[in-house]
This record gives sequence, C-alpha cells and structure tokens, in this order.
Amino acid sequence: MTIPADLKYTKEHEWVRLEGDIATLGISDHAQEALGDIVFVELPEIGREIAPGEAFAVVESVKAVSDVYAPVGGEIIEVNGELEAEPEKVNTDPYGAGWIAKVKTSGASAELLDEAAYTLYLEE
Amino acid sequence: MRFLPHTENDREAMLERIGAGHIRELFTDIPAAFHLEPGSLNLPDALHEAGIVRKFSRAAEMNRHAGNTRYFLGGGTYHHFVPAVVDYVISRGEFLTAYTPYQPEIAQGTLQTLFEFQTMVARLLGMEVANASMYDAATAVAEAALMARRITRRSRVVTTTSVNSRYRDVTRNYLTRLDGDMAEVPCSGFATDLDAVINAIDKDTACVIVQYPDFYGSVYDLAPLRAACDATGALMVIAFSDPTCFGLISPPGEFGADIAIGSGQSLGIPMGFGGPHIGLLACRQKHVRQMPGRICGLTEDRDGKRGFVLTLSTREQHIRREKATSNICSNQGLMCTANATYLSLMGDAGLATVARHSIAALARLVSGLPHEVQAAMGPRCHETVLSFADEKNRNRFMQLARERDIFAGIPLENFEPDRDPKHLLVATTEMPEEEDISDYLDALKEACHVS
Repeated sequence: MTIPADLKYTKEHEWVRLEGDIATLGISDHAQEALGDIVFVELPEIGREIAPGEAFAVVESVKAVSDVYAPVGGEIIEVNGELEAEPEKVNTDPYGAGWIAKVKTSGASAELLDEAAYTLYLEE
Repeated sequence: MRFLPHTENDREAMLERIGAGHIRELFTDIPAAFHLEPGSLNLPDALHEAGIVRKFSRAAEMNRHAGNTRYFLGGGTYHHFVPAVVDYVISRGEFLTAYTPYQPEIAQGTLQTLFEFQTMVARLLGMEVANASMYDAATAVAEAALMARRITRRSRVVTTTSVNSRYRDVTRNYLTRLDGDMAEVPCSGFATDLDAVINAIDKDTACVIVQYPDFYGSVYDLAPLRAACDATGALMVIAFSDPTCFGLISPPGEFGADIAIGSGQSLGIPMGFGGPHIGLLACRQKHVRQMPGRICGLTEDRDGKRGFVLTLSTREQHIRREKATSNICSNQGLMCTANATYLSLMGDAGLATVARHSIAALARLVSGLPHEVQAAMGPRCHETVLSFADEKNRNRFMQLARERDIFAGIPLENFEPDRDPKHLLVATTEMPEEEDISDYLDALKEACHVS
C-alpha cells in the first residue's frame, strides 16, 4: 500500500494535493483496496460549491456504495471525466489517473493528516 | 415443532406473580360492553362441512363481478383474460413461498425469472432497462419523479390532470415532504393539452410526467414533448395504466421517454379488488444508477457457468441505509412471475391481438351510440368518456345497465370531484363479446328514449 508524502489525507480516506489555491481530490490506496473493484464513480457538477466534510462524489464498488467527503472547501472547477468510462482507474492508480475532482479552494479545510499521521491512523 | 400452549397451572402462576385474581382483570380498560362472554355472540349451531360449503356458495353466487357480468370499467385496473397457466406457475411452491432473493446460492430460479421479467418489460416498453418491479403504478410514478430530481438536480415536477388522479395524489404526497413544487396543468376536454404542458416547462423542471394513453384513453403525438424536454433538459416521463396496448401502438421508448412507469396488472394479474398489482419501471441505461429498487443481472460463476444475481442492490437500504436511492425495500416478485408467464405465453402476436380486440370493441361501442350520448373527441385506445345530457339521464342508464348485469362505466366525478356528474369513463378489453356490446347499446338507447 502506498501513502505518498506530498499529499494530505482525511480520516475518511480521501487525499488532497494542494498546488496554490487548486486542490486535487481522490480516495486513498487503502480506500480503493477496502472497497474492491470500483464499477462507477458519480462525479460532482462543475461550479458546485462544497464545504469541508461535505459528500461531493459517490464511489460504487461491487460491494458497496460510498460517499466521498471533501477534504477542503471550495468550488469544483474540473472533474475526471475519464472515470465515467474507466472507473477502475481509481483502483489501479488512485493518486494519479484515478483523481476525482479539482477544487479552487476557499481556504477552509477538514482535519487533514500528513503521511506520518495517516500511516499511524491506519495502523491503529 | 409442536405448539405447546400454556397450562392452567402456568396461567395461575403468572396471574399470581402480577397480582391479578382473574385474567379478566387484565382487560378492565376495555368497556364491558365490548367484552365477549361465553354465549354472548348468539351464534347459530355448528354446520357440517357440506352445509358450510352450500351456505357460502349461495352467498357468493349473489356477488356480481367481472366474471359473471358484462364489464366495462377501467380507470387504471382492467379486466383482461388470465390464462390458467399463469395461476399454475405462480402457485408452485418455489415461487409462491419465495422471499427477496438475496442469496444467489439458493435462489437461481427466482432470480432468473426476475431477469426474464425485466427483459420482457424493457422490450414491451421499448426501453433500455427495467427494474425488478415496483409495488404499483402510483408509487412508481412518485419514484420516477424522485429519480428525475436526483438525475437533473432540479426540484420542479410538471404533470397534468390527464394523468390518473391517484397517481398524482401519491406523487404529490411524496413531493410535499420535499422542496420544489409540482405543477398540475389542467386539461379542458377529455384529452391531454400538450401545448399547455409544454408551456409549463421551465429551466427548473426536473421532469414532465404525462400518461399515454392518458387517463381518458386518448392517444397523441409525443414528439413535441420530446423536443421541449430536449430544449430545457427536463426528463420525459411516460406513465401508463394498461401496457397491453404497446403490443400494437408505439411504446414510450419509441417516443424517446427517459423513464416509463405504470401498472403491470393487465399482464396476467386479476383485478382482485385492487391488489396485489405491480408497478413497472424502465429507463435509459445512462440513468440506471438512479433507478429505485433492484435489478437482477446475468453473470458467470467462477467455473464460467451462467448465473443470476441481484445487481445494483448496493444502492438499496440494506447497504446504504438512509442514503439509499429510494424507500422501496422489496418488489412484487410473485406478480413479476405472473407478468413474465403471461408475456411468454402471449408473445408479440398474442399481445397485439389482445390490443386489437380491446380497441376494436371500443370502436364498435362508440360507433353505435345514440345521438343523445357523446363520446370524447379524438383518437382513443380502448378507453373513453361518454357524456350524457345530465346526471339524471346518466344514472337512469346506469340503473338499467345494472339490472342487466352490465357494469357500464365509472362516474368520472369519483376520480375528479369537480366534474359535472354526467360523464362515464368506459373501458373495453378483449373480454366483452359482440352481444355484450349490443346489449350495452340497447340499454343505452332504451334509457335515452324513456324521457
């Protein structure tokens, strides 16, 4: 299982990559592994304002349907349309091609963990 | 396991423990007048079995029902023939006693039946995908409205009074608990005013729900509605109450419906005093994840053998709890089996024959009307509205018809209280014979010429 050091994580197993005021969001390697084969990703609408902790996307696997919660607040400016045809990218490359949405951040954020804290959290 | 009732000693021990002297003391809150004491019912002496059968057979013979009269009632429930094979199949213990088939390991037969039911419903309606059924047409319409709200993320629902008022009542009941309004566009005559419906669509409209054929049996061109929905991004939702007609006329899918919902009662299910019936729901493949209920899917097991499983149930309540797509927790499995059995018996040609006979019967009836009675204008399927000069004339005919064992129609004000009480909603199926229709027309002429 990988936990890249340049990302931040939530206790609900989302990750966020902050570059200036743009945040890229996805679910962690641990989350995709726990969910199993992902068959559908329900993407948010571009332009939607989300608050930290708000459910902004839905990931459906053969086992369950789970909400994806926003690590940071802001406006959705881009979604990963490729997931509509190839949702399995969330399984194969959760931190790369499996990203879900990009947000122009408002500055507000949920409780974020760094690599060490998230690793510790998973071990607990 | 045997049933072991309490002994007298058990009862006494329990009464003593709670400090009651007699079991009667436990019922003191109920007024004494309602207590049944030995002998107080004043029942007749016991009858032997043959006597019981005779007594109740005689009582049952007094009933007038669709099976021993000439029956012209519709309004959402229809008197079609149910072949004996349907009852035989659904009475088999494997189907009759089955409950929700969560476990593919033990429920392959039930799951396959549901899969085939879905396939047949989707083909009949001309839609890409159908679910494993809803409880009835009214709740299916309400769920379609909720589904459209989820898909479009808009809140307004547009419908019209030519949609069965009971479907609208249930839908309104669901929607009043949510934000967003429900516009019910009035129809002046006994047909759908499609221009008025189209004018009511705006950019907040999640869906437009029309009935086809509508509540009054009217058929009309739905192409302008498809264009209007495309222009605003609203979903086109087509309700129906008797899908046998789609054996002959274009089904909702051919008009480009996004969601089609209605009753499956006509497909092998007796009217049965209003239930159990079944709701059908079908939609475009791209909307399948917002569909309520469950879908059975075809798959392969690890040995590569064909198998059936519940798919999409991940969105249902037993997994997703309060975030479930809908509140429907089950389906009408036995009624699905009846529909699938009926449709497989009838086939395309059989269903077309049912529709042709149903439509021809109405045409024969309408063409023989006396000039005092008007049938609603415009093309009809197998249901229409007859209008009399006044309530007295109509009721005189209904009385005469009743005396001749003819159920002549439903007073329209039963569904639409604002209507002038001089109309009858009249439906035909393949069941009435030519003689029944001439008897109907004779009674009509006699009633009209009395005054």
